[in-house]
Amino acid sequence: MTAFITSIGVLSPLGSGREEFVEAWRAGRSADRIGDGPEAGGVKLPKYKAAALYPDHRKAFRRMDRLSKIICSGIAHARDDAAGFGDLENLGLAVGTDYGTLTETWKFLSRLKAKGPALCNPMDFPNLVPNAGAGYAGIFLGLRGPSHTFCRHETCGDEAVAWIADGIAAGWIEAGVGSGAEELGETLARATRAASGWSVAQPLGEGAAAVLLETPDRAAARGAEVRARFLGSWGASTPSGRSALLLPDRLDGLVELIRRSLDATGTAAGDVGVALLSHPDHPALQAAVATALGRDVPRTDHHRRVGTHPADGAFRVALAALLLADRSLPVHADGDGCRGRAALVVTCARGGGLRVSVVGAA
Amino acid sequence: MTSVVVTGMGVAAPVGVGLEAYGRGLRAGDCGVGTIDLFDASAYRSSVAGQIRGDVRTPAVRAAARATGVRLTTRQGRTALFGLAALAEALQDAGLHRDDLRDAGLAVGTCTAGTPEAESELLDTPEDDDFWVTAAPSLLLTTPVGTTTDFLARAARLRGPATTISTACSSSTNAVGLGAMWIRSGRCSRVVVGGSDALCRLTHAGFNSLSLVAPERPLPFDARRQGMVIGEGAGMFVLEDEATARARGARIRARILGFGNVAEAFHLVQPDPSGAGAARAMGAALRDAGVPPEHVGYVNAHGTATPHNDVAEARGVRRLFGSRDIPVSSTKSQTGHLLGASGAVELAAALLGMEAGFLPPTAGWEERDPDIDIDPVPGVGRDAAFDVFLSNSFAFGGNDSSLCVASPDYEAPR
Repeated sequence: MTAFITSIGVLSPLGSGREEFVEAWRAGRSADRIGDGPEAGGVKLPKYKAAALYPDHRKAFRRMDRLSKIICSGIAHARDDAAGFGDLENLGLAVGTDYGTLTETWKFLSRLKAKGPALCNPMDFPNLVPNAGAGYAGIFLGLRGPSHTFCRHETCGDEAVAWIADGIAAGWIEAGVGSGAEELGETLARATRAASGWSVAQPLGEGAAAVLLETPDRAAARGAEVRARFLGSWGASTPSGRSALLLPDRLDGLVELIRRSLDATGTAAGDVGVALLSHPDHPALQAAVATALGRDVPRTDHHRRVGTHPADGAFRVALAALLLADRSLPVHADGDGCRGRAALVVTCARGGGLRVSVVGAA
Repeated sequence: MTSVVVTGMGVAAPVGVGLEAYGRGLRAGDCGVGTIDLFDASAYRSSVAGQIRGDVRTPAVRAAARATGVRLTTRQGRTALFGLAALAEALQDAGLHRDDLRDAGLAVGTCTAGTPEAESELLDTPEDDDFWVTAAPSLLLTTPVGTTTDFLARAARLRGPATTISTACSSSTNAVGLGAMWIRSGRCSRVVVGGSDALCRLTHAGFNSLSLVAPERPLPFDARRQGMVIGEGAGMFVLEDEATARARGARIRARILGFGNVAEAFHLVQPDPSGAGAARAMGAALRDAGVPPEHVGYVNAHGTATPHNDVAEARGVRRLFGSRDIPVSSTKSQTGHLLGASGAVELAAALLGMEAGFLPPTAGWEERDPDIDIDPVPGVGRDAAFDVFLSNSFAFGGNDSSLCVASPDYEAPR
């Protein structure tokens, strides 16, 4: 069953909330880069008040870690864009985050080293689990359905969205929120640089995106505006590459995966109007997409404008939906709007993970 | 609907490395909890853990690795090594070689990944050294939890989908549920699922800071219980669609009939004391399986031995099963709490018990808590035949999961 994308929440260096982001994207703006320090060249979120998105839970935000606040903010923007999620009893929630709470983890360990076990703060430890953000969001919003947190590097964000879609297709849930979030910090910056030379050309970023997926019946019953359709997502692994810790330079199997995804969703290669790549300047990734489609398609330039992070697959799904819903929205800063009926979200990851998602126009 | 069957499993646990040793230890009521010697734990409230002693690469594990083509390496850290050991045994148990995993999926639940090795570098760096300058980049790269999956996928030369789930203590139960979903939906005909976690100062210090740990062996469901004891280990399973398994003449060990996963939406670390979340997760697994509660013969509890968790889980069992007395035991009494790996290792315990005709015990249980109205199966394994069981995992974040598993001969009424 196709899942409808009926709301989009974005927290990005270009803006907070769908409307603010779209306005900045349409204007061709790029976020400012950090000038120096370990995160130099990266792009951070502007200051914002996460607690204001959850007026009934302001106090809880005092003890939350920054990543959990980012996750909850992205989900809150999706909630607001949908004017509420509807029935929450069996609403699924999936969060993708690769580095997760690594920054907080190193702070906790540094304190353990400096102060000893007796002075570890008991308020800190619960925030160190990668699913803390999903837990907070569930509590704040009363989400009682299935909840997963995915952490396989760059595939985690689009995989979170895919899990919700699979749950809907299986009849397990009628709706769910798929999201991805990451925070940029010293740990992430240093680890990413160590992981891949691409981070030099590809600025690091941070933020969150969340999309609400629903069955057509549920969306119709709510009177929801359908922005796009999530047609499906497929994963694979490539054993190529020198090390499991690095981004592979060869992407064996990706062409086949893209073709399989298009076939399974009944999407012709000619229908694809835009490609949203995890590493837009990766030659092997570009080549695989061109080979699979038999031509070059316009690619978004999100990496240069908001930076990239390992969980931005959810953001790319959200951006694909926005581009398909509004054909006047330019694909990249110098380009026109999307001219096809479908968008391809393609991800390659450290460790050899591959994922292809197909998003269709409403 | 496609039937999901278990055709292989492997375990590395404090009470026994390998299925044979693990099953024997479980049945005897052995306890693998003892004083930590991986690091100096003398300054902590608790200095005990369920630690795997000695080299996990036992002669049997090495033989399994040779037979299946899985390379056991210590370079990738304890979490990965435990996972590789369990993977090799699971493949051998399934009669498979790593080359048979070409199109298979992989779902791994974990919390620690390379943290034990990376934290040692940080904590052992002299005070005035800059960790960021002196640390090897590979240490930073192995810390994200996804890397455990990377190592296993690479060891298996996997080309199918691979993922990491990190939902704290329900991680590997959710990985099993996800793998079953992949098979049911036709995405894969074969998957490797499970979890692995290693003992480290981060988790030990964290649970100590929360005052959730016991100074001695854990006593789940016992009135004298003082808290949990963390542990380490791994459990891996080969799941296949039944047609694929039968076509190659594989031995079918069990069926994964249903999976339930719910959010409590109550508190980040405390369970809903009414047991409603636990009951919803178990109920969802039974509905997914199409199995009535009266067919369930055993519940392998999450049973952490913390005061609140055990009461909430027992209440959840009562909510679901009413006045019926059903055996409910916690094998954490024998292994400690293996965090992200606990669900997989405990699923293996229940499965071994179902096959061999015994209920895994809550070892050390002696004194009834008036708030916990269950049959905890005290002492040693109790001889009993059962065809269907539930395996529970409840986690931080209010993430409650349950698997409904049956013997190969059981037929659900629907």
